[in-house]
Amino acid sequence: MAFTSLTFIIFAAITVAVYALLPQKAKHIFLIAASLVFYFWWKAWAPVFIIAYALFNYFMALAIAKSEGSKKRILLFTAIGASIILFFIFRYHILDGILSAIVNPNGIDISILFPLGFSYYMFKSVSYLIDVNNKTFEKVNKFDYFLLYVVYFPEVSMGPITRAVDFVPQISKEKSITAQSINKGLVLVAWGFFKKIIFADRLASLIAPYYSDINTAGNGSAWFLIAAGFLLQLYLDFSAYTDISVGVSKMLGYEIKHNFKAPFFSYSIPEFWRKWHISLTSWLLDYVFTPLQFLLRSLGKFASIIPAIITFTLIGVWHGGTSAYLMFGFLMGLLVAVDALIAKSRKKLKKKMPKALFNTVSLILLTIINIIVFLFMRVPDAQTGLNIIVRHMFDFGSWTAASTLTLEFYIVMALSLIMTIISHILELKTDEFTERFIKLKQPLLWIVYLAVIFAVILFGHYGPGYDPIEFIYMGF
Amino acid sequence: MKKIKFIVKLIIFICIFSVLLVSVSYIVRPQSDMKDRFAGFYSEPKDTIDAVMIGASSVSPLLAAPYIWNEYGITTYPLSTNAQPAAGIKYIIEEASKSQEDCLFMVDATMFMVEQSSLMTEPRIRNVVDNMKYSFTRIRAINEMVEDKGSRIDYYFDISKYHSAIFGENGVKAEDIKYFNFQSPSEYKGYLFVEAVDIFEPVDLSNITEEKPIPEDSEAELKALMDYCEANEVNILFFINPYAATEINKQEHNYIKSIVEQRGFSFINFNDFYEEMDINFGKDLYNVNHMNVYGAEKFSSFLGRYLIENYAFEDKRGNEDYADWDEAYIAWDKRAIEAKQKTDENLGKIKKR
Amino acid sequence: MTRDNVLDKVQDILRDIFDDENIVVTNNTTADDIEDWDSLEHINVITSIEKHFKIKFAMNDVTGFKNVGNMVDTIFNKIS
Repeated sequence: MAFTSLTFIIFAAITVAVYALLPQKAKHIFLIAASLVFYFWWKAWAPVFIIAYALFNYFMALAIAKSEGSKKRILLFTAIGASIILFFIFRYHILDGILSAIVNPNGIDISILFPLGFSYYMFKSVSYLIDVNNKTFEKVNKFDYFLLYVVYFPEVSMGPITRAVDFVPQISKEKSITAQSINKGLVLVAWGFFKKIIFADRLASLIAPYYSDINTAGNGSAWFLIAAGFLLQLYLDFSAYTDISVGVSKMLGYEIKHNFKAPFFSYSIPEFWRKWHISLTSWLLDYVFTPLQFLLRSLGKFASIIPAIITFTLIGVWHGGTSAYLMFGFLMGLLVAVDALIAKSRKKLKKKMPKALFNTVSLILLTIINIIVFLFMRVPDAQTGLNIIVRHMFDFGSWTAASTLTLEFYIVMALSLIMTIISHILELKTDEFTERFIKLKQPLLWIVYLAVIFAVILFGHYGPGYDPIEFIYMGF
Repeated sequence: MKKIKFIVKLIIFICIFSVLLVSVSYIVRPQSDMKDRFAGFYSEPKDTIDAVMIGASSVSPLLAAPYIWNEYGITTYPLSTNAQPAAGIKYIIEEASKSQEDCLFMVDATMFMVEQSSLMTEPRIRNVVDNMKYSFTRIRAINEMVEDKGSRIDYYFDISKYHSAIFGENGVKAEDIKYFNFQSPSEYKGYLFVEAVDIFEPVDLSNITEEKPIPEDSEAELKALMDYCEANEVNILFFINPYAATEINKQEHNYIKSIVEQRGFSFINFNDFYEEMDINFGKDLYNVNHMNVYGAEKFSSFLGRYLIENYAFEDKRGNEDYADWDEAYIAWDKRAIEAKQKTDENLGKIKKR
Repeated sequence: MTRDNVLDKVQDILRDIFDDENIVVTNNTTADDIEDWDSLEHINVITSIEKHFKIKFAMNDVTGFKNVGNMVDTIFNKIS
């Protein structure tokens, strides 16, 4: 079920209500059950698969912790290898032929075999295995704790990707569910709904027609704005999801790290990636980039360049097997590598000019680069993306007025930009704002909640008057 | 103690939210003559309406309730929607009966001459259910008329559809706040003024006695309606509205008359009374199925007399409780003069062609 | 070489890499405390330390570095 659906609201409300009333010892068991129901809702067999997968990794981790030397390494690589193979089966459909041959004759479509959000709990499980191997984290001795870590429903299908070291210790902690703690979570959830249903979805359907018929948009500045629109939509959509994820977690008594920390307020590409999709970037940083960098450290500058390109290309292809995603990742890797190369010269330059000027120019450059590179996340293949960029976006002859864009587009873009800025400020000061908010005196608090709810009901992009927009990251 | 306080607060919040949701939904419903008509009906005081007329769009410019009031002192009210699906009739009856317990229901049976499948489309179903107040009656109406279970939620909560149009052409205006409880008096007691006119050749239907069957699904709905009326002791009169009917149409009217009278229900075909009503086919209609204000006056006058002669309705003129009906007539009459002038102009234009 | 010597030397290395004579480190200093000490620069710190102290870290050593104190401990263990 999509997070911004009526079904999910009812599901979450019931889950939180029952959870709050249960004794401490039963809370996490109930949470496992609720999470499995969530998976079951999507595909009936998914709970079976995820439990089996969790059992496998659980026992492999126990074995790894007990072994030494080469046996330990073999176990680790086997466990990780199994996950990678499954990932290739589910994401890149390498076994589609064989699977079809087996199930199609029975009238079954192979699509029902693919579980929901595998790449997310795969990342969680693999990070756990590596941490146990490196002794960064103690192996988990209770299967129910490990299972909860894997199936935890607020992180289903879109993350954030929490680490066992951050999540598991919270399971046994005493959970005090109070009106205050629920309010704190509810505020975030309401904010997420507000962002997604009114702005992200509306923006998405406004720009969609231009992407389905690329030549209708006109050239020059029009495409630049449309691509900027996509970048805003992506941020509002994904950060809204995370808000809901973190908010529901707060209501359940779990603290989850947010995936975004005002990413557009950055001055360089590496800095941007430290604040965008944080859980994925830090996962790849810790388990791919840093080890690779360490192994290649004798190569001087290339010790950072090669791992950067590999890591970001992986980010790209993790999203999907198209040339567009590959291009996205590769370009980002290249940009990070370039950043490493020019770091020293940039520092010198920074000393020579006023800080405000340097930062402003950096910000503008970063924004332009992001608008162009993120275009590849929206188009079906690299060729289309390059086409748009070279033939349309940089058609300087048309950089006068984006006349094919409607007034509605401009208004929604402007409002979305304002929302993005507000959202950024809130991301930087979440705790302060939440504290201030829940301290609001009674009628005012309810008025704000009612205003937000009715804003979503009245201005939201849902219902028979519109097309439904799925969360972008849901298929991953 | 804290838990109970929280739960109580939560329940109160949910109640406030629900009430607001209902009000906002009513306000956001698109403005139309149907909304005005139905919201006007709901604002009528309990047990003050003598007869309710249910039908399709023909009824709206036909029943001049203020005119009948002025002549006879009886209260009538139209509850018609455009292209009314027959399945909705019993729910309108049920709904209206809540506030008007013993009233007579006049049902325009021309609805049964059309295949129901063409009428059971979203816009037409919504014309009925989205002009009703929220109630179990409405829920049952939706459940019967909307086949796809998954879509029903968008009907229960019609705001999910209409909120997308609040800024549009037919959007919400400040004055629409009056619909917060879906009760707002209709200036002309539900009458819809039209200023169009067209010229028709009258057809003598008096000798047609043959019968021609109506579509099967419509006949089934007619029988279901009669079952409902029997079971609930509804005071019902089936009729055919006066229009430029053809001989074939008359045969279908006869078919309906047979079915209905066989079950012991009353039936009247106003197409048998062109002379008595003094219908002028060159002036009184605006298209084949609909009359204009001229036709409405003549029909309403005839209907009023028919009701006085056949039913025990009291003449309530002079009764203080019905003062708003006097006002409605004054307004209606004033507007009718204007409408007649425009109609005459339009007639002049047609004749020149 | 004492442990404190090691700490001083590490401080010198950091001042050199980040081109800032004012950097002062204690056992509790982390990468967050020094501007520019991100993952791209971190590897330079590692290689610089290896070169200067003539030691070779293992992967396991490096993943355990939470602050300068951890680093100094590991270095000190390796050279003693």
